[in-house]
Parts: sequence; structure tokens; C-alpha cells
Amino acid sequence: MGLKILDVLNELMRYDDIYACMVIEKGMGGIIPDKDKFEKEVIDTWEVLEDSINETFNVIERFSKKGLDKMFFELEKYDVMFFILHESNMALVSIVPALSNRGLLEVAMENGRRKIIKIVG
Amino acid sequence: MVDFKASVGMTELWDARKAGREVAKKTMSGLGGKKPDFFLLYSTIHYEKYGGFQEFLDGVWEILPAGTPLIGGTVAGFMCKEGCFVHGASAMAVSYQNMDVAVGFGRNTKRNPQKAARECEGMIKKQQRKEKYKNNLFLNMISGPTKPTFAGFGSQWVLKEKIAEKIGPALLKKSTQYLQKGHGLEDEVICELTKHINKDDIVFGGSSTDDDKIIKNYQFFGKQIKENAIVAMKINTDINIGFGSEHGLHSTGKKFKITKSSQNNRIIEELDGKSATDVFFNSIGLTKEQLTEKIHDITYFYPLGFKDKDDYLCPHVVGSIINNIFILSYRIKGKDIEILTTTGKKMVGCVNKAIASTNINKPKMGFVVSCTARLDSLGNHVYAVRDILNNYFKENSFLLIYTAGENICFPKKEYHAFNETFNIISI
Repeated sequence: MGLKILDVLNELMRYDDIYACMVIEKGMGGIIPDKDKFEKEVIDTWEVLEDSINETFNVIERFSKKGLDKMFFELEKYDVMFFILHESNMALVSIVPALSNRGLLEVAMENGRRKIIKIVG
Repeated sequence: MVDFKASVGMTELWDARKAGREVAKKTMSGLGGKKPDFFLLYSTIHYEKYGGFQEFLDGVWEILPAGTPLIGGTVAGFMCKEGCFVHGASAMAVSYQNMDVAVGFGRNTKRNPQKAARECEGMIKKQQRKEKYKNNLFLNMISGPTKPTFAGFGSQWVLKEKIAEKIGPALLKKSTQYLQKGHGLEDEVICELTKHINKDDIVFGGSSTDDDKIIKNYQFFGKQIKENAIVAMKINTDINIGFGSEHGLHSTGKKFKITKSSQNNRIIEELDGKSATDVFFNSIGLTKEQLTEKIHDITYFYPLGFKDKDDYLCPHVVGSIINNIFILSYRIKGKDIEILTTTGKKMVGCVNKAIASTNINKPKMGFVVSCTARLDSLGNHVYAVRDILNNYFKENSFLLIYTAGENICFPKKEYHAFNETFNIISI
């Protein structure tokens, strides 16, 4: 299962404007593609994200009852996109440049989420 | 229409050659062994980096029967039964006995749009001198706008420098004319094309683009890759074609007179005698100082519009700002302009209205050209549009492409080149 999810993440990493991505799971860390593929400039942001997974899930869980579907952090230069995998304690996360065409990337993320949901079952 | 067959195929493969092969194979498999009478091919820009478009087309022609009329080009995304995609390729093939197909292209659409239109139309006319059937459909793809880069200013959507305002419009004009980087001038191409066709014909197409960065785009014609071209296909058939066009935008009631403009009302300098940028942004509660490169997050939801002779409200997106002036993709017909607006719900809701306009309840196939601005605005909610289309077409094929602008001319109506619209033809 993990390898198949990794394939989905590696596909997402092919988009020019997806600088980093992973699937996070509460209390379990996450599934991460080879970090060498990440844009170097987002590594700092990435580390903050990794450190705050559990806190992030506290928020996700609270709002899940209200049908939380996705969540964005808009930072100065980057956006962090969380696509929640409903009823699974998992989320697909990516870091994209703030000036990207976010709507198009949302479609890429949505397709990634749908594929992962199929894999997770 | 017993022998009518339509098929849509798609691929998400990244390798250009393999993707070309796969999209052709999947599309052909839906024709049940019949030879296609035409093949429409669309892909996202990514294959430029993953093998190149010639490889992609060569892959398609490994599968496609020689001589099949083919047109298409690069798009920001596409939608079909399988989903909505911003990477990959899709194609539509049709096989039908009572159908004659001719194809043509015209070069240098940005340098001389009228000549390009005539070249394309002339090429089509040479192949199809006699019309056997009563209905004509002109499908087209025209090279869309590309963002020029000016030394000292770079390539930006918002320039606040006064000097940029002074020299920007002239530079843009020269860049469009000589370098073919700038306005797409698709409206001028379509204006000329529609002068040479019957009033009952349907013109239906869009502007090729990339992943909405507006840097490069390509057109496909047979085995050739083209830039700054129109590629078109005339389909003469006995089939009645349903058509519809909607956008879900409405007037905010904020209306202005264009008091100063240039380049055929594509560059708006003053509204009601004041700075066009100030008037526009103050009307939607913003100041010029608040503008950032993310300008399209705002302007997609507040396009400008005007009513044409048919009383159709035509939306035009403010593409970029140079201090006091703003630039539109297409010329505004007339001097009256108003600010339009919409919501995501209305953007989705208008799809049902467009479908209803076709007057075809049980479609055998459909083709949709829609604006990338709608895709960018709706994001993953665009799947709501896919669900409506799935419900309408049921087990039959449809293909929607997201373009940098749309062009239509419906029977006995005026031609339109505009943004933010949803245009459908169904059979």
C-alpha cells in the first residue's frame, strides 16, 4: 500500500509547482517521497510542517465533524495545501508557490487524493 | 444516425511518445473497429518537457490510420467521463457515413490575424468545394495570448511604474506584431473567418494555452506542431447539432463609459474620464496599492462585460495592469462597459442552462470549450461540473477542454471571443 501511495506522490512531484508533498497520518508520521526531489527553498517550511503534524490533526479532527475537506496555510511565499482523506486520519499535503495557479493544482491534488482513497480502500 | 460512433480517450502518462500512443489507442478502441472521420487531440503543456510534442504526435500516428483529419492543441486541462485533469492528453474521434471533413490552418495569427483566417478558410474551401449536407460546423483552435517579457520590467501581471504605463502599450503592440508574444488576437481571426462562411454555420473553438502561465502554446495539425496559428476543421453533415453558451455572470450595476482606450479597445486607459484602474478597483472596494501579482484571484470574479447586438452579455477578464491602465484579451465592442460578477455556485449552475439550450435530451456525444479561468476559480470543485456532464451524457462520450479564451458564432448570430464561458455542442 505504501509503495502505491508513493507512486501517487512521485507523480505529483512531477508538476513544476508542487515543491514538496507527502501523505501524513496521525501519530504515524507519513509517507514521503525522496526529499532530494523537493525544492530546496521549502525545506525549512517542510520541517515546520513535519514537526506540527499532530497539532495539525487536532484541528483537522475537530473540523472533520463539520465535513472538513481541505485546508490552506498561506505563508509569505508558499501555500500549504491539505487535502483530507475522509474517515482515515490521513491527509495529502503539498507546498506550492504562493503565485501558482492554485485552482489547477487543486485539481491535481484532488486526483491524487482520489487515487490514494482507492489504494487505502 | 445508425452508424454514428463517437469515442473519447485520455491518458495520464508523462512520457510524450507513450502518452500519444495510449491516447490514440484508447480513443480508437471506442469506435468498434471503424475508421475515424476526424480526430480532435488536446494535451497539457507538460509533454514539452517529457519528450516533446513531435514525439507525442508521432506516438498518436503510430496508432491513428494514415490520412485521418486531425486538429487540436495545448490546453490547461480537460474533462471527460474519467475525471478532470490538468496533466495528460485527451482525444475525440467520430465515425459517421454522412459527414465530409476538411481541415486547414493559417499562420502568424498574432502578426496578421486576417490573413491567417483567410489562409485557413481558403485551404478548407479547396478540399470541400461542394456541400452535400445542410449543416456545417467549424471547429477551431487558435494560438492564445503569451506573456511578453520586457527588459527592466520582467514578466509580470501588475506593473505600477509610471514609465511602464507610458511605454508598455506600445511595446506590447510591437511585441505582438513582430515577436508574436502578446495578445492572441483570436477575436480578429474569428471576425475575419465568419465573413467567409454561411450565416447558418456554427463556429466553435478556443485558444490554446499552457498551465495558465501564458508563456507558450502549440497547435496540432495532422502530423505537424504549429505555433501562432489557427487550425480548423469544417464538418459538413446531415446531423442536427445542438449548441449552448453560458457563463453564470451578472451585472453588478456598475457601468462606465470608455473615454480613452487604445489597440482596438483592448487597452483601457480611462473610464468616465478617470484612471481606468482606479475606477475599476474602487468599484469593487480595492485600491491600486493593494494589487499584487495574484490579481487574477480578483479579476476572475469581476470580469468586465458589454452587451453585443444580440443582447448577449460578453465577459472579458482584466488580464494585466500597468499603473492607470488595464489590458483585456479581446476588444470591447462599443464604449459601454460594466463590471460583472459571479459565484462558484453560479459558475456550476450555468452548465445546466447551457445543456438546456442545446435542446438535445439524449445526446450521443458532446464537446465543450470552457475557460481556464473557470477551472482556476473552481479548483477541485470543478468535479461538480463533471458530475452534471456525466449525468447528461450517461454512457455516451463527452470531452471538455479548458482554453485561454473561447470563440463561438451560432447560426444568424454575431461572433464572440470572450472569457469565463461554458460552450457546448451536442449531437
